[in-house]
Amino acid sequence: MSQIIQINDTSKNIRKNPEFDVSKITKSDYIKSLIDEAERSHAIDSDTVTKIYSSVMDALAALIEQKTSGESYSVTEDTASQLIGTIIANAGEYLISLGDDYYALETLINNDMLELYKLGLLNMRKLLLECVNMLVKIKKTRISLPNRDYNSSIDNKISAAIKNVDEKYCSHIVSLSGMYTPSKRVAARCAPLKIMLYEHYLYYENIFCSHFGKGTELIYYTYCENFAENPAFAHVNIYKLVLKNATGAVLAGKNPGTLSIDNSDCEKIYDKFSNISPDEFSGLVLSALDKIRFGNLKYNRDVMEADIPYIKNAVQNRSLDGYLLLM
Amino acid sequence: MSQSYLILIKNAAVSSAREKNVSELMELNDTLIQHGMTITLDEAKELVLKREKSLSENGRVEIGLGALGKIAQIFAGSRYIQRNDFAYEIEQIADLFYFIKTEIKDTVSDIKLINSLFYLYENKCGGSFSLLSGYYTDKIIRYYNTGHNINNGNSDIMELVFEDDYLIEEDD
Repeated sequence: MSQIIQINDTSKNIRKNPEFDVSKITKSDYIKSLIDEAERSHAIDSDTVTKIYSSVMDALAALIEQKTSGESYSVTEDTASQLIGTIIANAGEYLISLGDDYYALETLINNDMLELYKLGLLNMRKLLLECVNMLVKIKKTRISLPNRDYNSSIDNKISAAIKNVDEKYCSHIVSLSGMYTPSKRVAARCAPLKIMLYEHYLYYENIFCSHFGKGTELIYYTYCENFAENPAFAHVNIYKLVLKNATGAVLAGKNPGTLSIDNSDCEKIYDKFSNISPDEFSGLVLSALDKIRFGNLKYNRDVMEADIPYIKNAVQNRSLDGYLLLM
Repeated sequence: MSQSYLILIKNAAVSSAREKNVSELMELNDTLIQHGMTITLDEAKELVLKREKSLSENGRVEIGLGALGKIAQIFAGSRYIQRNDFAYEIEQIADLFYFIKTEIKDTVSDIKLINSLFYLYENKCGGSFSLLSGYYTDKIIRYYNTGHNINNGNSDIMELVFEDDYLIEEDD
């Protein structure tokens, strides 16, 4: 793939330009960020900037022809904006994949945007294919519960999102609203990466929960009963229920893998946290979590770290029975 | 993000594209002269500028000479347009064309719409632009926006212009 990318000798000077500051380049709006920094540092002149943006117009012309099957020379500004977004996102992803901001800028200067867009599209489609493979892994590890959000996401909504992104020429925009919500916020700069990240989170959660076998079902139904929620429509993250109780059980001195917690366990936890400094608090929670060697340990840690202020609060107010699920 | 790119890109591309469009328009003279029409350099420059304004007012983006060239080529064959008015008429019709395209949400191809406008201009309006841009434009827009295009946008707008009965019935 790289052999069709052209680099001129003149652009090699960019690497020697001490003013060109790669730390100012952001991945979220990569192409504009590259151009802005290159222009600011005088690595490129305004004619080159105009040439790059004009090249986007040529790519837009090609996409308009594709979209209208050659039947229309013009499109509405909304459509043009969407198509430009797609061009910039795909070309940007290709340039990011080069892994070197200098090389990316040289590539941007010396190649047509349409060519970069097509290469980006190819990369994105490979990612979408990986998303399809990841979905198979999620299905194989799924938790057997009647939660409709969870099941419909796995059975329909993820594949619909993949298909939608593919049909829109790998659009940079994807909405995961209406889908089962993982414990970590899914944020990525492009649609295939966002879907991929969502799938990974779901997979980590499945793997973690599967280690608790029937305990996962028990905790879910207990939650639904306690909060009077229909098991089919409960808006709760199943993994988070399991993770919190599993960590609580270890803090109470039980074996890793236990989910059952009662009031006496809460008392043991209060005792454990009495007279310790705020710094030690986090350490104690995370060392308990470290004893649970299921799923993706980094993911577990990230989720639990984000929850530490709530645990602290629950301990201080002696309200762990509200944070954990007693059963 | 995309909207700001659109502005950046349009600004970057507009000056270089303008010159190119003018020369493309001048090249059309070889064809237009067969119908006794020509476009002067000043008229070509004016047409390109007015086209930019029209696109902007109608919220559209067009790359290259686009529909303007086709309109000039087709309307050069009009029985009603005089040589001296040709550039002005083309400018008016192009503006009307972009307006209709946006109003009917791009449900018809450029060439079909241009042919339809030409048919109406020649056969129903007697060369009156005001009749074309008022009465018949309203008919076209309503036809496409109220479900008459039952073939999901694939219907030929020529069906409309040949179906005089439809136009008369609607009026009654």
